[in-house]
Amino acid sequence: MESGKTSGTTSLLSKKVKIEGDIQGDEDLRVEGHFKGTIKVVGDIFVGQSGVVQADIEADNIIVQGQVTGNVLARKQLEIQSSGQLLGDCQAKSIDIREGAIFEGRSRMLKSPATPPGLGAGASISAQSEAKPNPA
Amino acid sequence: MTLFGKKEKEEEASVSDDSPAAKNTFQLAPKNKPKSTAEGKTEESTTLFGKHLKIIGNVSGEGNMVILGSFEGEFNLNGQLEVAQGARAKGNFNATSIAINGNVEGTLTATEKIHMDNSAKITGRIVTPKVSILDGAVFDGEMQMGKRSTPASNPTASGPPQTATASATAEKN
Repeated sequence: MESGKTSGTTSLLSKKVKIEGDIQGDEDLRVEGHFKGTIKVVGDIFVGQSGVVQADIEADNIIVQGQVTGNVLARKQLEIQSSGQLLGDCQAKSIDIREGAIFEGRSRMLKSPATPPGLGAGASISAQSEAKPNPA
Repeated sequence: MTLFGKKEKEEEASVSDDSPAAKNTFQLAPKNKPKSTAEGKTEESTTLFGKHLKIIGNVSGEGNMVILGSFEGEFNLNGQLEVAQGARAKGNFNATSIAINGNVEGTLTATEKIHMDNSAKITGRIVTPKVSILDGAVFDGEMQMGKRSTPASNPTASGPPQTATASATAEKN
C-alpha cells in the first residue's frame, strides 16, 4: 500500500454524498458514501465501512470495508476486510480476504506481467499506467 | 515560613492547574495525528475530488465539496461547493454557497452566496442572493439576484427581502 504515487492526494467521497456516474483518473479514492457507476483509476480504491458501491471497479489496490456490488479488477491486490462485502466477480494479482468478510462471485488471478483480459484491455487508463512490460 | 508554605501551595495549585491543560493538549494530539494516516477522519464531511480525477455524473447529498479535477454533470449539494484553481466543471450546480476559482460552464444556483475568486472563469447563468467577484475573475453570462419569476417560489416565506432571509431559508432546509 505504500506504493509511490505521482499525486499525493487522496480523493474522498464522504458519507452523505451520493454520486451516480463515472470516475476516472490516476489518484487514490476513498469512498465513504454512495457510488453507482464505474470507477477506473490508476491508484488505490478504499471503500470505507459506510461506503456503498455499485460499480465495476478497476484500480491498483482495492480495499473493501463496506459494500461493493459489481466486478472488480485489482492490478495489484484485492483486500476484503472483515466488515467488507463483495458481490461480484473479481480479478486480482493477489487476494486477501479476512475472516468475516463476504464474497460471492468468481475469482480469477492475474498472472504477473500479463495485461488483464476484458476489463483492462480497452481502458484508456491502462496506457497511462506505469509502463507495463508487454508479454513478449 | 508561612509565606514559604503559601508559595508551595500556590506552586502546587499552579501545577494542578497546568495538568488539566496538559491533559487537554494530550487529548487533542491524537485527534490531529490520524491526519496523515487517514485523512478522511478529520475531513469526513468534506468530499474531495483530486486533480487527477475526472467525474461524469450526478452528485447529491450534504456536506462540503472541493473539486480540484474535472467534473461534468448534475450537482445538488446541501453545503459548500468549491471549484479550485485549475479545476473544470460543467453542468448544473445547486449548493448553499459556491466558491469558484476555476473554470465553470453552466448554471450555478446558490441559496446563500457565490464567490468568484481572481482566477475564476464562469460561462453561464448565476442565481444567488449574494455575490462577490474579485478582480481578475471572468464572468460571461447572466446573473439573477432577485426572486424574479422563479418557478420554485416558496409560499411559506413571504417576509420582506432582508439580508437574513438567505440564512433563514438555509436553516429551514
